[in-house]
Amino acid sequence: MPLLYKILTFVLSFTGCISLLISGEINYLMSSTVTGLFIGYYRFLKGMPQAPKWTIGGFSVFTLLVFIIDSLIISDDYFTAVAHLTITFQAIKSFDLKEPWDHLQVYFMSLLQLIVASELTYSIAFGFMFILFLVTLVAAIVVAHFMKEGIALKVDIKKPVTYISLMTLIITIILFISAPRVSHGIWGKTHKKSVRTVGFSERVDFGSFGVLKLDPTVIMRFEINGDVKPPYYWRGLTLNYFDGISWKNTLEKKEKIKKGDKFILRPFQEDKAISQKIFLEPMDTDVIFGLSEIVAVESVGIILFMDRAKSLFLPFKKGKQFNYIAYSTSGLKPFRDDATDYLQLPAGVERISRLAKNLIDKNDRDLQKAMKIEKYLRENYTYSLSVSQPPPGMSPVEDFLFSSKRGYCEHYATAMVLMLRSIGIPARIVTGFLGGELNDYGGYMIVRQSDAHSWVEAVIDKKWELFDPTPSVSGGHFSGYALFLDMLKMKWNRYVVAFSVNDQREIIKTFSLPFRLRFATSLRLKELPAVIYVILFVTAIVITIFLLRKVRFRRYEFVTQQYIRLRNHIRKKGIEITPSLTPSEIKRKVHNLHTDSIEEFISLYEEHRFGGRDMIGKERARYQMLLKEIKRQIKS
Amino acid sequence: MKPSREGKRFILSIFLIAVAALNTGNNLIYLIFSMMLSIFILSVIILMINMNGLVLEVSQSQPLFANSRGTLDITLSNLKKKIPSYSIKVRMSDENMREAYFQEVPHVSSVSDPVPVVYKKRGMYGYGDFFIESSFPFVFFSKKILSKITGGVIVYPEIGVSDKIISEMIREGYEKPASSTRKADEFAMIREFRYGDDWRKIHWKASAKTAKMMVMEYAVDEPRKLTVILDNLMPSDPESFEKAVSMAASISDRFLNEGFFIRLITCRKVIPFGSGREHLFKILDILAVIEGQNSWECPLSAETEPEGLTVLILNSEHSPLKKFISVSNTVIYAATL
Repeated sequence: MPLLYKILTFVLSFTGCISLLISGEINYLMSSTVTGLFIGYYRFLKGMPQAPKWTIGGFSVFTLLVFIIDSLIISDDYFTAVAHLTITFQAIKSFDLKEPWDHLQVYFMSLLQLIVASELTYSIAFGFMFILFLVTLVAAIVVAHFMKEGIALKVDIKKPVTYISLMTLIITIILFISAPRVSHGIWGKTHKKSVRTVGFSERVDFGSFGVLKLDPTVIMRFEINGDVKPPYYWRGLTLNYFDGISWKNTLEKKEKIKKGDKFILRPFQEDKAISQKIFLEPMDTDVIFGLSEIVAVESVGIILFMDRAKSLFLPFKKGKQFNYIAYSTSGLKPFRDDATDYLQLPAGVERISRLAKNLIDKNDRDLQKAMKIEKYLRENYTYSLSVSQPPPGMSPVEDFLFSSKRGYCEHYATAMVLMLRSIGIPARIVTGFLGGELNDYGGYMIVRQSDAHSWVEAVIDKKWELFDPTPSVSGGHFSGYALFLDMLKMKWNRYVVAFSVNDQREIIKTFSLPFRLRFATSLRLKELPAVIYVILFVTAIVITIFLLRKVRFRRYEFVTQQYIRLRNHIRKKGIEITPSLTPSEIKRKVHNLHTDSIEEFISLYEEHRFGGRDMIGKERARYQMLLKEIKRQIKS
Repeated sequence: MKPSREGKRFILSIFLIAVAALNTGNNLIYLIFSMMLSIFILSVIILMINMNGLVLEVSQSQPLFANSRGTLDITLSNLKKKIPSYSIKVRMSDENMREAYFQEVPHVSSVSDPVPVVYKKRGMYGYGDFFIESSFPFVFFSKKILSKITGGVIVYPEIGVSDKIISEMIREGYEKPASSTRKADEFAMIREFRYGDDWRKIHWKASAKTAKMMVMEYAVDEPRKLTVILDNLMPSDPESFEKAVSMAASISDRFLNEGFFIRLITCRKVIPFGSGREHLFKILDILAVIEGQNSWECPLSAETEPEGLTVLILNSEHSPLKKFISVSNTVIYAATL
């Protein structure tokens, strides 16, 4: 067995296991059997003897038992347990590689691992593993071909393998682009874990943003078209009720937004709107983000809901990457709600109220009042993520305002809302993200979990106005290498992970443009899945019938099977063949077909069917060849 | 094109992955599905390209004898201008030949492989049907092209089956030169030129007079002559007849090697006296295809024209050719071989 073949098998096995490990979704203790893989392949490459059969069998049975326990107790997830199982089986197989078929088993198992991994991760590392797998698989199957022929490999296969790998890659890309898509699958559920976040649910505990501010995970990438200058406030959710510990949204009344080409929240002029292409990472929230005020959203295959505060929601949490275009206008939102919903104050805020009143002048207009409070908070308090617990009996906001005087966005925003409300100005807290870092490599902006922010919206002259009392602080930046890597991730996410029917339509439009094909612009790819289901259903039925026929056919010996085939061929020619016809009668019936071989075929059939002799070797080959010859003669 | 066991499993895997991709809507599974499908498509396309432009030629470089291992030269030419062909098998439709295997046939070139071949019976064989097969690049599909090769091969009778009898014949004096009282360089006679004679011994004067090629014969040059009479008259036992043919071939081969002039007389065919390897193949050509005849219609009769030694190979005890026994030095019954 050539060393190259052994190495390729090792690389494939390694690729399968690594693709699972990089997902980060599997239990590392349960996957520790991967170390066995290295020992097994070390022995295999060194030409050391394979493990005895009983050891392999024993380990396999033990692994299956562990799998049952794993799926029921340890991982409590069948899918993850399968991932662990494949890693262990790969390790066991590395001690039992004898025949070329064993190697093919490794390839199939690696393929299975890759499929499992694709359900566990969207990472670009999977993309690298995929390319490595593709090239190695092509090389391995080419070498396997020569191995199957039983010939020592003497030709240089570098050139054909390189060309075939390249062709495979190109055709893979073409097929990937053209394969019909179903937006969210049929029955499947994803096993990928979303980015854990807080602040975007119906109830937000005071102080929870502090955790997010330390997390540099990229949460969102965006591109902006239109005249808008930073800072970018990515509005997510609004909260109106504060009980002293948590913020809640008590006004929630989600309405489904009707969809035409876009989800239109308010009529707008598209050319004057700021469009934002947003690529959201998987998050454990159903809120979607955009610059204030969002007037329309464009996306495929989704349903969108809106609450009274114009916050937008998906019907489910974003377990997958989610792309959309948000259109925003820079004008202020008119206030049409009941003011009392935004004037609620928790008990024991008298001191805060006094502070607010001391800051303003009675004759000030609402805008001036709000700006004075905002300025006071910005200038007199220190931004800090290390905030200690308030003394017993003191609320966190009071502690922030009168005692510690240190806090982060939540403290500032909550304090301002309470101060505004205490002087009769309706206000609410908004959670979302602030800012974004430009990635020069891809020309887009990056928003991280640490950019999570909360600010204030207050009703000024019957319009909602934005205030941000938090002093600006500069966050960390990515290095050049990290930005380049992020650009690759962005491209991977955009063009592979989140490739959609919409992209397919755009590609068709682009390619059909020079030919002015009208149908391409009105193509309804959405209906394609229905066609695919029908094709799949029909294919499944055909395969089932074929297999059932094959099972029925296998009851017969080889000699009779061939004879039945002959009868079927003659019947297809239009000659009546009844079950009672004997071979000699059939021979006579087809006499006018001028098939020379039928005489010999029938005599071989009779000799072996009724003579009690097994048909083997050359006779068997001759028998088959005669049938082929008869078929050819009948055809002609 | 036919899928292999692995190919069938591969197709089933593609189908299952397609279902998984549609089920989950996961683009990464679509990616794996696309890879699998592209490997499937390429295995079909490359296999077709690989088999395209291949021309098969079969030739015989050595004489072939029944039941002996010989070789046929299988030459595979790749007419494609830029693409080489890999892993090509050439197989004969019957069981006489081991398959030939070509790991690579470079573009616009030919590769030959001498393939051992064993024919069990003498005769003329058409090259017949050859199959050019390949499953390159992967193991999932194989394609077979039928190549009908015109021409054929002549398989001579088995030689060397009668060593024991021939040894006895030699012991009996076959190897001794024909008896002569004349000195070695003494001129004996002028006779008509026969195939195998030395051109330098042509007597030009006599040739001019008689308008025929005449040669001078010296005492030492008096050829040792052997006539082999093969009875191919209505052989009742084909097996014995085959042995008789092999015997005739073996005797001719052995005695031609000893320097004898050999004549073969069969029913309807006569090969006049001659010597050398070329003469052997003249005899073998006849023996390779000789068949039983119903009547003795020999244009020449050893009975009337006895010359040198005579070996009579009879098919049976009751053969009408027993009349030649009187002029034969050795009589061999095929049934006893």
